Amino acid sequence: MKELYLSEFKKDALKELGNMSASHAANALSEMLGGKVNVTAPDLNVVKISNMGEVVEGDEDVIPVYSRLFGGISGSVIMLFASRYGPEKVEQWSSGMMLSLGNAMSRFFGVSLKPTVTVLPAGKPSSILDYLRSKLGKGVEKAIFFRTRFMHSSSTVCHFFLSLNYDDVSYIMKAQIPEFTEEYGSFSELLETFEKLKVVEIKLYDILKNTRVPKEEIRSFLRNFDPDDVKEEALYKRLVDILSGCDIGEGITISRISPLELLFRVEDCNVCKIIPASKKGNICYTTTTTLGRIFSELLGIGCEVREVECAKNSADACVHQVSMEQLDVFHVLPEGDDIEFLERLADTAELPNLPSRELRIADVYAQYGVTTMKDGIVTLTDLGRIFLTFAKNKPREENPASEEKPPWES
Amino acid sequence: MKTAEEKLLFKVNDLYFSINYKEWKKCILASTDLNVWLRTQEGWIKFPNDKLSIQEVKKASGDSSVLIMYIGDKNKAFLGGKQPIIYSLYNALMSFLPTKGDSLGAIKFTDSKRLVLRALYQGVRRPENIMPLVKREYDEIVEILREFEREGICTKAGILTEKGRLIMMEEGYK
Repeated sequence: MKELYLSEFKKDALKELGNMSASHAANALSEMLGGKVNVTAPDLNVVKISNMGEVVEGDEDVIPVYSRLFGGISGSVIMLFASRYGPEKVEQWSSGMMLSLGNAMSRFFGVSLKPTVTVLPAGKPSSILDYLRSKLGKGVEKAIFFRTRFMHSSSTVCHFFLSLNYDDVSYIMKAQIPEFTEEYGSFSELLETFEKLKVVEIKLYDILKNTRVPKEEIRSFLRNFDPDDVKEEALYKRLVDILSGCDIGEGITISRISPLELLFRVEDCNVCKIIPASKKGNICYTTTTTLGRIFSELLGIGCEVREVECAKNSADACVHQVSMEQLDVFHVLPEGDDIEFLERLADTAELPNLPSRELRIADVYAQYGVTTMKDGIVTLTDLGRIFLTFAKNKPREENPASEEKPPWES
Repeated sequence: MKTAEEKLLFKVNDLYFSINYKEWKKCILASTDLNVWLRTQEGWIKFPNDKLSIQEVKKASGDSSVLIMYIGDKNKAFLGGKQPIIYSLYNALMSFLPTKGDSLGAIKFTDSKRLVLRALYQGVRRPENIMPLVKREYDEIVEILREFEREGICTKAGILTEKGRLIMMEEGYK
């Protein structure tokens, strides 16, 4: 048995398709009637074929019209006209409405749809149930019904139903939409794009909400310039975990191109797959914004993020460059007796023959242009003097104890 | 109603729309190849894609965010909603709408005013000293300092007022 299941998002999109169909049919009817036709608020439901009576309701006599769309995609349109209009007018109107609807759908999907129109004998709505079951119910259990009413001068001209069974929906979801096929693939892929992007954002939202990164972890990462050793940093591992946890991709590595610039390389990028048929390069904005939010919201480091290479542009991987704000890095960088050492440096022209511990401090700050080192002699730069003013006035962190590991964990 | 020639890209429910950040209307957004359509209680409003540009996403109260867009060069439009929805929308729109004023392809997650405020708070007050610290042009810093002075955030000498300190505290030390 073919099971018809649609996510809320796809249902919503099919409702939009129903709206489009109904509005074209209503416009055509309006021209033929020579007056305004209002379309009532539509609804869309997945209905068991055996319960079709719930959809085709009412007790007034109607003239039913059954129309089937063929050619690239498929679907059925059922219209129940008030019997007062008579079969001739109904045939004329329904043919015009289906022509307009078919043309609109053909343009949308880039196919050539040929609607067939069958006007059935007048009777109660329930009288066409058997006929519809025979048309809609072959091998399927459920169908989608988009339902609305066309009103003219406060009275109902016809009930309009767009009905799609399992096969119809499959055709529509696989349909390639011209112009957009290049970027977004089939109708189904196009619809799923936003849904998948949202999944990434929801995962990121949860991570940002539930994660606290100790300043010590950030500081240690920012002070480590060894390309191999930095991979062992807790923050390095955390960043990789967050990105893969958000389904950004796999095979993620981080490297440094300058003290304030990092490269994030994603070998197997899922974001590229989310927009599956795109031929445009540099499209992984989801990764770009994810990185930007991790740095600014989680690490407290403002930044600018740019995708410099994209797999969709024939690159080996997607590569994003994160340029960190120097001030934010300076805010978190100092530890221990760094400031004391830099103050000593400020008080003297230069400090020769430093012990190795202080040489390591000087080396870290030299990377950021705060100090210079030449022939073992360390001096403070102009930027270093400004940095010192900035760092000396750094307010105490509100609750530094919370960042320390408890004794049983250390 | 959208015309048949337009191709629907995606549709987003549960959004709020405003043009002044004060009055908000519940809306649905439908994005097509030609336009961004917003449906409020008053019906559909059309914004042609070639008149729109994206500025940024800002955090709002609670779990919400606001996407800031420009209609033309001057008129701002705001779309608010739950954070994941707004960021998904932002990412989706970014794939075909231009961004306002940013260098090509780069997205900024920072703000010069925030940096200048922090520099002042930590005792760096002269624009020529703030400049290498925050890596911004001298003129931009002077302009921000003048604005801070006008708004009573700092004195002419670059000393933060009580209001300035409060703003800094509210932003928090990240």
